[in-house]
Amino acid sequence: MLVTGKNISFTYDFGGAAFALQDVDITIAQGEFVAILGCNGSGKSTLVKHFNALLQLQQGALKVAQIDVGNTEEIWLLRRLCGMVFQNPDNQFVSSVVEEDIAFGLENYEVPRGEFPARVRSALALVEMDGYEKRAPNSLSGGQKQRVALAGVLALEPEIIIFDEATAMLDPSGRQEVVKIMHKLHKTGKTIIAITHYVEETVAADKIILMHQGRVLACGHPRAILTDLDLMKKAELIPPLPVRLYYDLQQAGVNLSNCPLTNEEFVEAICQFRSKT
Amino acid sequence: MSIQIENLSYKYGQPAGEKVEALQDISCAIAAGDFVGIMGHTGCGKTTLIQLLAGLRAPTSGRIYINGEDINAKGYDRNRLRQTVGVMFQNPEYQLFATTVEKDVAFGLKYSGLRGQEVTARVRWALETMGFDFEKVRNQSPLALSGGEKRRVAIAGVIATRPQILIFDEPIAGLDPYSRENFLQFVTQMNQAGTTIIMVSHNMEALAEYTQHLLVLEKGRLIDAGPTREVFIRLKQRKDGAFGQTAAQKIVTLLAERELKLPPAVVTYGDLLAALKHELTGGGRG
Ligand SMILES: Nc1ncnc2c1ncn2[C@@H]1O[C@H](COP(=O)(O)OP(=O)(O)OP(=O)(O)O)[C@@H](O)[C@H]1O
Ligand SMILES: Nc1ncnc2c1ncn2[C@@H]1O[C@H](COP(=O)(O)OP(=O)(O)OP(=O)(O)O)[C@@H](O)[C@H]1O
Ligand SMILES: [Mg+2]
Ligand SMILES: [Mg+2]
Repeated sequence: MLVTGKNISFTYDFGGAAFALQDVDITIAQGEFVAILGCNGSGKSTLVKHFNALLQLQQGALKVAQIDVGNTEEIWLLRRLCGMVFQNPDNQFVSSVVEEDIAFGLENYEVPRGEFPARVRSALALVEMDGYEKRAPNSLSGGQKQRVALAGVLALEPEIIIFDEATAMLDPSGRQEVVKIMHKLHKTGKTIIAITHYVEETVAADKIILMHQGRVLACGHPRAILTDLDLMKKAELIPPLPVRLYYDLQQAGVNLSNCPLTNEEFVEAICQFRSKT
Repeated sequence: MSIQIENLSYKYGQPAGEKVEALQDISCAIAAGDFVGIMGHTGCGKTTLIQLLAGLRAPTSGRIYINGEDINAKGYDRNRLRQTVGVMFQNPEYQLFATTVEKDVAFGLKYSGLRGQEVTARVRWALETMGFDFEKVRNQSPLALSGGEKRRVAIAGVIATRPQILIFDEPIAGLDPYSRENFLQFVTQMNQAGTTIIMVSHNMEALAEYTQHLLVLEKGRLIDAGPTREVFIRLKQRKDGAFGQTAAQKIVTLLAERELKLPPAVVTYGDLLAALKHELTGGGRG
């Protein structure tokens, strides 16, 4: 296993009773595409910030790529291995020029200088921000910033990439692009961990970790999680549109054979239903 | 409070000398009590437009009238503008700065004329409206909140002043589904009570289900405007398919490819469910 966590508990409120994470067990395999779902404050960001030691482990055990996250000597290796794109891109810029900002990250992680231009170029191209090399990050729109922040992480070529609501500020096509990039990176063998409030972005994941009030409520294949109405309700989430349609049609006496997860599956199920009746 | 926008243009100066034309010759009117959505790709000028409406930037050319008054005219009362127009910006996390959540939300009420207990009551109302337990959250640091929670505190700060025009830049990005619905329903109530609402969003469902009118921007230009449903239907007919469609519209397109034609007016979830029921339970056949 690439990531193994056992009994992780965490509180921001030292001495207090409020736990942001409580008894979390987690395993992620090399090359897996994992989505983390859960309502606001359920502990998603807190959990993933443990993976590259942005937050210090308080209770339990956590290993990432054989590295004990509590081992402070390995912290740079860990951070290089495990890249993270946050929900607030503004927090991530250090330079006033886009290309320098990306190069700064490379420098930090001791990437050979000769590789800088090519890496910066290809990372910006991947997020379709070529041409913006000389711009100031703070002169970009919200979505453009988010793409540049993503490029900064991709340039480091980490093995594990964590997207913490990296699509939140993007328009629908931009969102689709980033989801495509995630899957492209996944195909090249990277391990992807994606946090999102857009439930339809999780249907193609290998596994969903469903969080609620600091605990892992369920963990499994998207089909098992997203089509379970009771579970979704317990997690205070709303299932994807095809799932809602399936159940709402059932109420009206239209029984489709299988509960679809994607629009394509839904359309297929409708066509099957029509050819049968 | 009505808003008139006339031939509005805005250019950002660049250090390199070149200029970014963020808005080009935009004209439109927003009636008092309307609920208007603004849609468009990343970088099309939505935030810029909102900053102009809030009086934070002066137009390069063109005019903005609020209730008939040019807000950039000499002598226009800026304080009144601040009380009339409440704005929540795209990264509200940076609007949070006080030491406690309560103080943060109360900050905007400084010039409201409310005093003591009235302020507390109003802050409580705003935070409870945004789904918080007031007693639990009032003394917390706004920095000690999750992403979605910060956003909800920022929204509370804006609604607390009960301005006549409420402008939101991507308010629901980062909110979980229940908070999203809760926010949209609340805004609808404010709207029904007379508040003019302007909401920028990349969430097509939210725009389709809740707004009355839509403005569509593309590369700084206003390319479509009108009643929400009509605009969504028009955008769907565009050959380039460049613009957001609702999930329901996407399913309609896929069904049409499989010879199941649903009415073109299907835009929302409710529309789609009704059309499918009609089609599949016999109503649409024979
Ligand atoms: N820096 C902090 N200090 C204190 N408490 C915090 C801090 N960050 C988060 N919390 C609290 O910890 C809990 C979990 O927060 P976390 O950020 O992990 O949630 P999340 O699932 O990422 O939510 P969101 O969807 O809103 O981003 C919440 O109750 C939150 O208020
Ligand atoms: N401070 C600035 N200086 C220079 N150019 C800017 C500045 N702010 C924005 N721009 C540019 O102006 C254009 C419009 O930006 P704006 O922020 O209004 O877009 P937006 O529609 O809000 O996008 P998003 O959906 O990504 O938030 C973009 O091309 C952007 O790069
Ligand atoms: Mg978070
Ligand atoms: Mg914007």
